[in-house]
Parts: sequence; C-alpha cells; structure tokens
Amino acid sequence: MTPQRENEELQFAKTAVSLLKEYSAKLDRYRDEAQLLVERSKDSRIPRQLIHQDFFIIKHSCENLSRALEHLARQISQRIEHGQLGDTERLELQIRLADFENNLLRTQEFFNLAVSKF
Amino acid sequence: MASGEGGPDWKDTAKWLWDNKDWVLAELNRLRSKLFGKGKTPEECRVLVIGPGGVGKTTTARLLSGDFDSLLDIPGPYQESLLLESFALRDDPGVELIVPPGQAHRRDATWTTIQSDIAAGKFRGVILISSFGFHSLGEISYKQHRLYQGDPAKFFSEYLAERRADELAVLKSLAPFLKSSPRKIWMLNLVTKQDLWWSQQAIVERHYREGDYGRLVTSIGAGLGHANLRVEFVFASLVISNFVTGAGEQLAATEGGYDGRLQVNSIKRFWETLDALQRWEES
Repeated sequence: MTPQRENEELQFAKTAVSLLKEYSAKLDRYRDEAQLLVERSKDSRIPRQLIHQDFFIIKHSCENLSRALEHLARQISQRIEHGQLGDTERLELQIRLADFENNLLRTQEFFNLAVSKF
Repeated sequence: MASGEGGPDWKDTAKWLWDNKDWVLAELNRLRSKLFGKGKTPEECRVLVIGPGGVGKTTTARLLSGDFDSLLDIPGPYQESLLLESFALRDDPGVELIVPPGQAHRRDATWTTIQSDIAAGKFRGVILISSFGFHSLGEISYKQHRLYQGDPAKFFSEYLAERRADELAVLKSLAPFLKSSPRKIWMLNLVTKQDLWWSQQAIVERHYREGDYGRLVTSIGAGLGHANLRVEFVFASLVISNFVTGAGEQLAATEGGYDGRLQVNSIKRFWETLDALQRWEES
C-alpha cells in the first residue's frame, strides 16, 4: 500500500470513529429527552397535547437521522469487510460499529414501545 | 431487466414472457404453495438462508415470502443487511425463513446461535447460497478494496477467487453442526448470479459438485447418512443485473445469450427442488 493510501485509510478510520461516537451520543440524548416526556405525560397538570407534539417531533427527527445512520453503518461495515484498514483500525471500528448498531436498534425499539404510551 | 452488451433479442423474450405470463405465474405459485407442509411446530418449520455477504440471501428470502417478484420487480442496488432478518413464507406464514447477515465481521455475533440451532435440530433445512465469487460490493469503491493494486482486471480476478474461498469457509463453518443434526435435514446449495457466469456453467458445476466444496458436501452427507441428509444443487439467476459496485462502477456485464427465459427456468428449478425436498421430508 502506498503511503498516500495508508494515510487515506487512517483518515477514514479516524473520521468514522468520531462519527460513531458523536451520533451514538446523539441517539442517547434522543432517548433521554423522549423518556423525560413519557414521564411528564403522567402528570395530569401538564397539557397532554404539548407533550404529545414534542414527543413526535423528537421521534420524527430520530427516524430521519436513523436512515442516514444506517447508511453510515453500511459504509463503515463495507470498509471493515473489504477495505485496506490496518489491523488495529479494523478492530477498533468493528467494536465501535457493533456498539453503535446496538444503540441504533435500542433507540428504534424504544420509540416503538414509547409511542404506545401516547 | 438489465442486460450486458451483445444481449438477447429483448422484444422476443419480452413477448414470450408477456404471452405466457399467466402460465409462468401460475406455475410458480403452484410450486410455492406446495412448498412446506402444515401441522408442524414453529421450530420444525424454520428454514435457514445463509451465506457470505452479497450473494443474494435477502433476495432469496423475499422471493420465497412473495415480497419480490423476479419477473415484475426491478432489482435495486445492493444494501447490506445489518441485522438478522426473518420472513414468513407467503403461502404458509407458519414457516419462518431466518436470514443472518453474511459479512465475516458480523458472523461471531449472529452465527454462533444459528450454528447451535442447526446442531439442536431447530432447522428443517438450510439454503446455503454462493455465487461463484460474484459477491456484491456495497457502499465502497473497488479502488478502496484491499486487493486493488492499480489493475482493475487483475483486481476482479483476485476478488472472485477470494470470495470463492469465503464460500468454502462458510461451508466449513457449518459442516460440524450439520453433521450433528439430530433430525432429518436438507441442504440446498443455491448458486446465484448465473447471468454473470453463464458461459462457464460447466466449470461452475464442477467447482461446486466436485472440487473442495463438493468433497466437503459429500463428507457431511457421509457423516449423517442419506436417510437423514438430502443435498441438492441449483444454479440460478434470481435477477438479471450487471455487476456494479455501490460506487456505481461496473466490473462485469451480464453474459450475452442469458435471457429472461433462462432466468425463469432457473427459478422454476429452484422451486421444483424445494418441492422435492419437502416430499423427501415427508417420506
């Protein structure tokens, strides 16, 4: 592998790790915000319609993001499977991708369940 | 349906298909509806659809579940499956098709349980899919592949060889569990993408029936005995499509002369083989 290719692969790995971390944290925030709204919906003093609206805005934002995140996951997965990554970079990406995909699935399942509370 | 250069006379093929559409669809539906018997427990009804990434596992399952019509639906770009998928057979929803992801880096997470389930007799049959190395490349350029060293033709030749080696590795990983199955089980080796290797049919058949792959299949059969294991090979094209990477680069074209009629007949063979396997199960 030429030094330029090696550098490109390193750069890809670095960017991919950064994106996986950033968006995994974003998914955590979406779930936390939605969970808070689910809790608040039990308080009869708060207008239900407002909470309902906020919940579905978050759910919709998360669904839109999830589609793009699946695309990201596929790209990273194909690089792990077929790319020219070094062993260490491949291993790190594999672990982070597995964790990220678990988080994505957990978030999708959370919203599927939470929606029934409204 | 897409076709490579020097392809068939599409007007004749399209006319034949249109003129005989009712018969073709009726035949496919008849075979499909006879496919899996009723009166079995859910576990006894499960069928595993497994193989390396990009060989057509999801397409096969969608065909069997009725989600995809090979005559009428235009194939979309390859999209890697991230999770284990489950489909229900269209004419018998009690039959579950299990499709684990095929990429090597995903197998540890999803295949271990699958392999244990094979050994525990929790599958009635396994559809093991290969495609003579023509594994679809997803969202990656071939120039980013570890085998690419500047020559596209050399790369593709090496890529096909590497992917065929992975097909054999998959069979090796399943062999000990198949040999341990406590109940009757069948294995259908489905070799897809015939439209891409059609001119090498004899070589392809020898590769799977007589080479290392075939010898391993024979050893699995010897381990279980013919009364408990039935093995079949089917060579087919579920869709007709040039080999194009996720980055839009065409690495291979469909072969001249491979037309809709050949494709339909190959899919019919697939259904007929599944039908025969069902009859064997009940014998």
